[in-house]
Amino acid sequence: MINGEDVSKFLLMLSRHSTKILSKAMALLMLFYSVTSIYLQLNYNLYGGDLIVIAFGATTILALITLFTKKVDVFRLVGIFAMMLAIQRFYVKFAAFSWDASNFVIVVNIIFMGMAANMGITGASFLVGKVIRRTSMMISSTTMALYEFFCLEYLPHPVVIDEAWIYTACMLCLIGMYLCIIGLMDMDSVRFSTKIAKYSKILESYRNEHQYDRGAAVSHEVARALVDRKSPLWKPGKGGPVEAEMHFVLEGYSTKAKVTVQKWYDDNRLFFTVQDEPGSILFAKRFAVDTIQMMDNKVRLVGKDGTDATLWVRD
Amino acid sequence: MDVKGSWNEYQANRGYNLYSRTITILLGVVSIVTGVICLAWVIYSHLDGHMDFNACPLLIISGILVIVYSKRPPRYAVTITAMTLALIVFFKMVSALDTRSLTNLLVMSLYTVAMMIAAVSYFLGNRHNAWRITILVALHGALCVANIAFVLYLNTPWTELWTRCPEDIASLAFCLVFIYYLMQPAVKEDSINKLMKTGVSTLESVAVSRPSVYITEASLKEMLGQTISTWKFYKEGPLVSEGRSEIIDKKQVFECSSKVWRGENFIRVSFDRDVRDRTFGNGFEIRYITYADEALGRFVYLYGREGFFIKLRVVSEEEKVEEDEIETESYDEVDVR
Repeated sequence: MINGEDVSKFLLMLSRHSTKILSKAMALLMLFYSVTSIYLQLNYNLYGGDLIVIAFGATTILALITLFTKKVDVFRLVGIFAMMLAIQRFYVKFAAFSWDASNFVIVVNIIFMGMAANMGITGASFLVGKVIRRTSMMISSTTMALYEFFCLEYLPHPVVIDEAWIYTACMLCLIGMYLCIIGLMDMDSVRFSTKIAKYSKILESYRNEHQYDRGAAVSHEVARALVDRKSPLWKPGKGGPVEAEMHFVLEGYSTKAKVTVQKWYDDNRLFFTVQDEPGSILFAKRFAVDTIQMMDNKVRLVGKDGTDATLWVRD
Repeated sequence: MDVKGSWNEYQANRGYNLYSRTITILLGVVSIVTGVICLAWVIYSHLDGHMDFNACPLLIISGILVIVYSKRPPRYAVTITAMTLALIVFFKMVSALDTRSLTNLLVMSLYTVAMMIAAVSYFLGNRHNAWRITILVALHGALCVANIAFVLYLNTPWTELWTRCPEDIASLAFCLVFIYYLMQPAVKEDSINKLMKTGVSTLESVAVSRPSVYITEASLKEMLGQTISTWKFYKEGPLVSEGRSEIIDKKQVFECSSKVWRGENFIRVSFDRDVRDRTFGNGFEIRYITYADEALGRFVYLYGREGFFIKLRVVSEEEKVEEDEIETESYDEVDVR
């Protein structure tokens, strides 16, 4: 019997390790794609020239290295894969001119060569640790994946190939690689590596520490603990001047911060420290609250240092 | 509450209110209606034994759950609906095992897994998944459009479209409503540009003030307690009294709160710039006041302790009107450019 909780845990695990899983999947697909492509080229001259075997050989080695290396630099990996994929696709589309020179095919091939070139240039910038044109690369990859899917589903297989399943598997790997590239491009580590994303991330941290959005709320339990100054949420201090300490998350719709509240010996105030993410604290928003007022479904924090904050109390 | 009032509250709090709840309920209702139409279509087409028959009630159940949980945060509605869509595609995949190609089945299974991962991850707080779910739902919608277009391509008149592919039309409506729901500010993740904008706005509201900031004479009197039209007096508690005033910074204002604490004989002022988000408050205490006429106008100096002071230009009501006109003109100039 399938247990819903186990399925959720499994999906969560997939979500947490998605970058690693996508990298390894990409390497595995690249390995299979390269090996089958070499086989198809040497036996059936599928790509119209043996020069492409060098590129497939390089990707085979690269895929093996990725599969057996524990620590992988995602940017460089994406960069190398994108470049190799782009070179191969560019060469394949270029070679296609020699066996089908109808106007329609020439136009389609030129478009796809342009997309491959875009992918190659973007991949090269990834190689040197610079994330650029993420969206255009995702769009190019999606278009190329849809095109390959369309070719595989609706067009007849190349007549030169006797072993159709190898060709099908090869094309499925190619589609899979495009999907992996799209997935990797959407991972947080890549998404927040563009110049503007890095700046916005810093500003977001600052914002989380110093502001809360108008819908920011605490639970009823936290609100009562703050007003009454006694609750199971309060834990004894870890020594020094701290008598008791409690933690809660102040969550709005676009802001989220971790708050530490401390009671010190011989002091009636509550000391708040607001930080963006859990962990070490150096810079943080710090303020003292002298009195806390509970009003309907709101709690108001007032301090002599100028603190005056009103938070919602959620059901 | 009127529609405008609820919209304003929505804008202010970006959260659980009449407007967002209405959209959530709409999503639930559309799910139920789509489920009923699909179920009726399956029965009418004598596909009762088909796996599709099992998929349709899922939409009805999920619609009911979405309505039941409409008071909860949006992640409940998003996860329930996304999971339902994933399961429907899964059922369709299982029912088409014998008829569809391997490529098609692989794509469908990948769709199911991707949607499920995105739904679980969204439920646990990664709001970027709203974008991923949107793209997956849009793909589903595009497939419905393709089916409808195909039926039209077969020379089917527009009038017969509803009888030929009701399932696709209902599913398309469901996808559009779900995408609209996913695009709500409280549901989707802020874009990087928006994060940048709000971040800069935070920095401005916490750390930047222009030299042109001013206070009106009437507001200054309220701040200093010389007039008490906004002041409240408390018999109990740590506060004796509290009054409101404002400092004007171009089109924005700093909302100020002057407080006298029990056992103290001076005023403490908290201020917060009136922008989309709130700060925890900044403040100063007023121990000594002086006025000075300078080249740029009349200024008030509010001194605190240990060298701290605030310097504000004081303007009369007439001067304030002129200031506002000048500012409006300069804003217009910027707009024109």
